[in-house]
Amino acid sequence: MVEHLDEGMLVIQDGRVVFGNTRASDILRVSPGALPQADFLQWLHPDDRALAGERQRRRQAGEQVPDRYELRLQDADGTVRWVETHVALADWGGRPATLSFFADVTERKAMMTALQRSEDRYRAVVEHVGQGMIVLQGEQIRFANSRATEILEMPLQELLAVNFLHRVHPDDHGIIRERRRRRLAGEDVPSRYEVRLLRPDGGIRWLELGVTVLPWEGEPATLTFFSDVTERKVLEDKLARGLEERETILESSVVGIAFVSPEQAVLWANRAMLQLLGLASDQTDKVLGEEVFLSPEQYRQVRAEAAACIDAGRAFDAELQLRRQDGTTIWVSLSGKATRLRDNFGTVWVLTDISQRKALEDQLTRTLDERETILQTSGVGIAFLTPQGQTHWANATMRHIFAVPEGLPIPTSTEPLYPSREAFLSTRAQVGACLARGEVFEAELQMRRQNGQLFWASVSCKAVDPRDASPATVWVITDVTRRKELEDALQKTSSEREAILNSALVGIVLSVGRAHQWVNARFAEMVGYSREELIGTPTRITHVSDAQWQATGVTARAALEATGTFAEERQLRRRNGELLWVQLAGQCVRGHDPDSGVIWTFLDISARRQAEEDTRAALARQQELNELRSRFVAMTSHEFRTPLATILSSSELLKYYSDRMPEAEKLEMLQAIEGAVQRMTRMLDRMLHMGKTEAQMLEFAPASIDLLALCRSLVEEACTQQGATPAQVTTDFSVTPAHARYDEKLLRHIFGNLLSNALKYSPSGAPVRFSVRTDDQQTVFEVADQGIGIPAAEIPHLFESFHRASNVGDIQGTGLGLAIVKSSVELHGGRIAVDSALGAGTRFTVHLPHA
Amino acid sequence: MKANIVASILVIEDETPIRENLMRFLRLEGHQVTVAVDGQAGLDAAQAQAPELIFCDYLMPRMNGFQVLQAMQRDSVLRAVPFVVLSASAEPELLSDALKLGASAYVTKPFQLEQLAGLLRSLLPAQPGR
Repeated sequence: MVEHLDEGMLVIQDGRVVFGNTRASDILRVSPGALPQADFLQWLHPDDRALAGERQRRRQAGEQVPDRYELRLQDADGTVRWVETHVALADWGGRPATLSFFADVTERKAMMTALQRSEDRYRAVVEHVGQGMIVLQGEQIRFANSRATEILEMPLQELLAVNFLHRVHPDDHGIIRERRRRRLAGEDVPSRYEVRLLRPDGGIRWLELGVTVLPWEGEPATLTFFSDVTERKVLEDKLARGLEERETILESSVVGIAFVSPEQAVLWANRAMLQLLGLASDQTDKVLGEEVFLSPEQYRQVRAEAAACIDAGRAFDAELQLRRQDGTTIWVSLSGKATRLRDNFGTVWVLTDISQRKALEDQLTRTLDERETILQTSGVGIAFLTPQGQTHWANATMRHIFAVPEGLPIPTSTEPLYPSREAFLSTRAQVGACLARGEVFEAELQMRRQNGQLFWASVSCKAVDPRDASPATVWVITDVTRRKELEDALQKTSSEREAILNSALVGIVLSVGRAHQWVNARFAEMVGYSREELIGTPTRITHVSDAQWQATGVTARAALEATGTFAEERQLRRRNGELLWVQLAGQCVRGHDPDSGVIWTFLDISARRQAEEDTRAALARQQELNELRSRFVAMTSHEFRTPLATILSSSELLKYYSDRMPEAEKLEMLQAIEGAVQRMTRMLDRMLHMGKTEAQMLEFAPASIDLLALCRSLVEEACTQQGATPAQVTTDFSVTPAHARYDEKLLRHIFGNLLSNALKYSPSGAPVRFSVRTDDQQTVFEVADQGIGIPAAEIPHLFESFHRASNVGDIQGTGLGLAIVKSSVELHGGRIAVDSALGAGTRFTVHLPHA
Repeated sequence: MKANIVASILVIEDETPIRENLMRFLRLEGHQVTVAVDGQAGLDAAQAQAPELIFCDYLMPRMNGFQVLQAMQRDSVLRAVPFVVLSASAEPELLSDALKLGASAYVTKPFQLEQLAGLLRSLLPAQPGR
């Protein structure tokens, strides 16, 4: 599509051409291969580079910049050419770009310049001509110069409003109409004649008219030069009445006068006549002789015509070129009339130099012809509209644009040229407003050809004379349908692409210089920012930390430069601080150049990652459980095998050696069996307790108990169990009242364990202190030893089942005691705290609220 | 289950009922028995008396059975004394570790007296005169 465009097209990103069609390379006169990556400014004329660069920059920044302007190109050989460029913003490869359409308008520009120059010349001629000048179409004055307004004694506005004939003596209307009719019919009509002008004061003024036909705004018109010849007329009248008394006057006249006998002998000629023809004072005989004519044919023709006129009693009038004595030619107006001089009949000839006027006339005609040619052959459509908005004239291009068949007139009303009446009225209103502000109306409009087809046109309209309240207008129209179609198509593909990218399930980002240039909706959703917030923002915003951003930048850049692509899995930081696992892949917009921009895709893999994490955690938990199980197996094995060993060895001794043993010893062994069984039962109880705790089945049955009595018995039991003397435990009981509501079984678990531990982990036999006191609505228990202590790092795991501190060495234990303590304290709604120093001792503090 | 050998035997065991039962059994079998309640005490007793056989528990406060064994292996006299490990753990790793360290036997608890009698027969040299 872009290749069929009449216009050149360039897509520019960051000042570099990323695409150009064949036409563009034609216009720029470079090979198509030289377009990609080229700096488009290089083709411009040095004076236009700054402007183009500046506009490019401002447009990209979102500023309002004219989208149509003319620029100069400078070719390698220094040739300067003009292009008209139309610039639009577009999305190219997911990134903003400027789309530049341009056409070589050098020819048009030259034409316009020529037109301008011819207009200038025309204006200069018109204003400097010493004669009045009017352009008549019909009987209406279309144009009058300032000299005309002086001669006609009427201001321009009034002149343009009146019928010219109203100013002419009624006796002369006939000749004027007659001659115009014949002239327009193509007949050869003498260009010069005299008419009488009615002066505002009622007097008469003689005008000499010189008329030529010319096209005026596409229609035939007459250009009339005129001068006030009243004075000459008076003179001629005097001549006709007799020259004798006026000879001196005649001699001093600037008009050449000669008297010729019927025999063609020059009887007399004044000085002006001799001077005009370049003759010496003794060459009177040569006045109007064959020599002064350009050719014998011309001489004979003038003589014949003049003779015919004079014989018929009429005056002879002609404009013709004569040859001066020095060989130069001169344009003259020649009139001849039968008269009598000193009783001799003859012809009086009056010769006026009209060279200057002729030269002006020629120049003007040429200029107007040139102008007309320019308008007609221009590549742009040009039309003149009347103040009423009716088409007055249109050039051939305009007919072509609107598909007006050859031979048919351009429609007078412009309404059919618009797609609808609404469009017509709206444009008319806009144009009116523009012109009222003295501005030029410029727009791209949809218009309608005569065959009904709609097309896009670039339209500009300006007033012919901006001083007019409702001026006639000049319209310049170019057909931009192709470009418009292309723009629409690009827009459409752009929006289709945008829609596709936005509905994608993967996040897509275009980053340039580590900032988001474009992101799709999915990516914005993934990171919890709006697209507007992301675009233009450095990619740091979605990274976990500065360090990660820096590190990723280095790694990604290295990979992109090496292979053009980069992929990894990492976390993104969402706006709310949450982290999100993504699998990302980046690819350079061009080759291995990350600076050309990188397109990133992001796949949310947090679910997969979560599953992985979950699996890992489950495995870790499994491993922990395995370890726990093996610890449990080792512990239970030891804890059961030891009492079993006591039981088995005791029973075997009794079995094999009872006959050799004293009774006391037998009893001791039975007690050992009993103790071992009790130990195993206690072990089973603890395990059941933990099982119930984990299954949340442990019962809490508080009852009124004698707290002090219980505490004393617990100290005794612990001492017995650990093989210590009760003296090792110092007690400090200050409980009031002695009775309290607690679950006795649970209290036994709590303090039985704490006291046993305190004794067990004080291998040197250092004293253990057990204190119980009432504090507000709770009882505070403290068990403190000066034993081995607990490593600080292990305190958090202290109450977990089967956990045993690393420094217990060979001190036996199940790893269940403190877990049971904790659950029992919690069942009471109390809390337990531990305070320990390695090698210095441990203190457990238990707070139990009163039930 | 008579063992026809009479020897001086050291028992190192922190669990009182087991230690006392071992002492009873060995005395009833006619041996001369010394006891120790933890590893350190056991090592001291061994160095003082140079027994002909040692029964030693594995898990004890103040030096476990393996530490006692290692210490004895470093002693030129004691390293020749048969050393029986008694353990509440049936883990094979522990058994192989014990043998590597120089233990003569590894007995898991609970044990039968006949097992001990067998060990006495195999580990003590025949002394027909006693």
